[in-house]
Amino acid sequence: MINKIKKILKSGYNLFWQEKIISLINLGTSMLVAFFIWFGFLSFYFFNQMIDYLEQRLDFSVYFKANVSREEILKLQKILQEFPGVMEVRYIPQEIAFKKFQEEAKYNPVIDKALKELQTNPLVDYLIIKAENSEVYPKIADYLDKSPYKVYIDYITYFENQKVINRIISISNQIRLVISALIIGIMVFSSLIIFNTILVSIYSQKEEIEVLRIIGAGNWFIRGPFLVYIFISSFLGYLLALGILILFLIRTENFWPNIVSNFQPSAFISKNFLILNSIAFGLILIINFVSAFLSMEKYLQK
Amino acid sequence: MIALKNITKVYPPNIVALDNISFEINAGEFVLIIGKSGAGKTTLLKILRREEEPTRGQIYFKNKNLLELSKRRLGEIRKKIAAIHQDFKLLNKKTVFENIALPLEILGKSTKEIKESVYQLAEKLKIKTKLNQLAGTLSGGEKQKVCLARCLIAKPEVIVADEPTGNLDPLATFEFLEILKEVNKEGVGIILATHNREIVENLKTRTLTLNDGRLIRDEKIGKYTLV
Repeated sequence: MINKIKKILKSGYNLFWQEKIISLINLGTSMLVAFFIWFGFLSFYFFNQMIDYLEQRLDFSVYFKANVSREEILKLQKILQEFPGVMEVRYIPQEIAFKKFQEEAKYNPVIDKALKELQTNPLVDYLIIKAENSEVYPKIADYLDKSPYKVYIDYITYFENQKVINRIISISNQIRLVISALIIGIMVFSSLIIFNTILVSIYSQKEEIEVLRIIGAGNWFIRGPFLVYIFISSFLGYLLALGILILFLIRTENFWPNIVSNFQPSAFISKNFLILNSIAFGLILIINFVSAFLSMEKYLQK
Repeated sequence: MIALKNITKVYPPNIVALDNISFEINAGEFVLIIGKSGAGKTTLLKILRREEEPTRGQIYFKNKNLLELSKRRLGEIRKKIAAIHQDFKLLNKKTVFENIALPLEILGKSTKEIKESVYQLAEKLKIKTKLNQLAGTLSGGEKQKVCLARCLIAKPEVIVADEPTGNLDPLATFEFLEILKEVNKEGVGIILATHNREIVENLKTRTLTLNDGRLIRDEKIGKYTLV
């Protein structure tokens, strides 16, 4: 049995070097699929990071009615600080809010002029709430809606922001769907290429296959070298693609945080190296083996 | 050892290659199958190894019905019923050694075992000096010897030879037949298809005659049966 396996491995290796052009096509196809799978991984990661980034910037501000006393607001601040999942509750009195607004508007002459003409502070006191994640905000909103403090509240900005975030999530989900479809399309396309290249290599080996059959070789003895050959071309193709990708990411390491500050592809890959590679290479092997197997069956059943 | 019962082979649309053929061959027997071109000799030999399926009838090897065997078991049978072809069916880009060694590699024999067997057989068939040569560079007679060596290395019980001397000159034909006789004396059955009358006269052995797909004569030494 060991001798048989050795012979199959050797024949597969020889086949790889004999069929140079077909090997190159298979290798290139595996590289292409590997690039697309990694593009899928990284784009999914990118959208996750982008949404995280936006959610981190999302705040929950509670604006109070003009006549609400500072004590009541501070009481509510204390309650909300104890709220599960809340990281920080900042109180912004109306004077500071006005100062801040003036500061921001000083380069806009129209607003600046209007502010100077104002006799009173039109802004109100408010609380800025930061939570660990966006799921906490609806709970706070729900709490406030049912609490006795509801009467003091003029409006909450979270709901407007949330609409924008939801829209971004929906768009990114659609983009993810398109990318997934693209990857599946590429996989199907590459399966067809592999199917045909294997068929071509089988035809070029048909003399040897015929002889093997005449002398009583089983189908596995005939299939084996082709499977070894496919493994070699898939593995080398994948390795090359991974090498190029890693090189590219190292070269562009400083560029990505400019787009989204927490998007660090190198760190993401090194953290999940084993699992991502297992999935990507596993997918390539499945595509290549299934198409190779189908093309062999098509030929061997004749 | 081999029995064919009512074998009929019809190719589409309605070409009858073999018509209700039945005969038996004993172990170690040397049998000639003769007939004109298109008489059905090649089809009959292919059916004997189940390289082709008959339209009707049964083939038995050592009482096993070959038509009932799985593909895996069929491979084992083909090692026992080896084949030699007129066009040699050698791998021309491989060396003589590699060609002869192929059946043992399929059997999973060790490199040492393969080397020993190949050298031994090459010595016997006088092709030892050719072992490192590419099969494609050999003469017809040498190629046929390599083909025979490839059959013999797996120790078959029967060799089925389809016009093995068709591409050989008279001298090489004579030499090849002498080797076949030697092999037969060692107990290996031979079934040889030919249209060469000289071979029939030279071998003086049981001869089955095919004509238009029908077995018309079964001629044993000193015994003549009209089928």
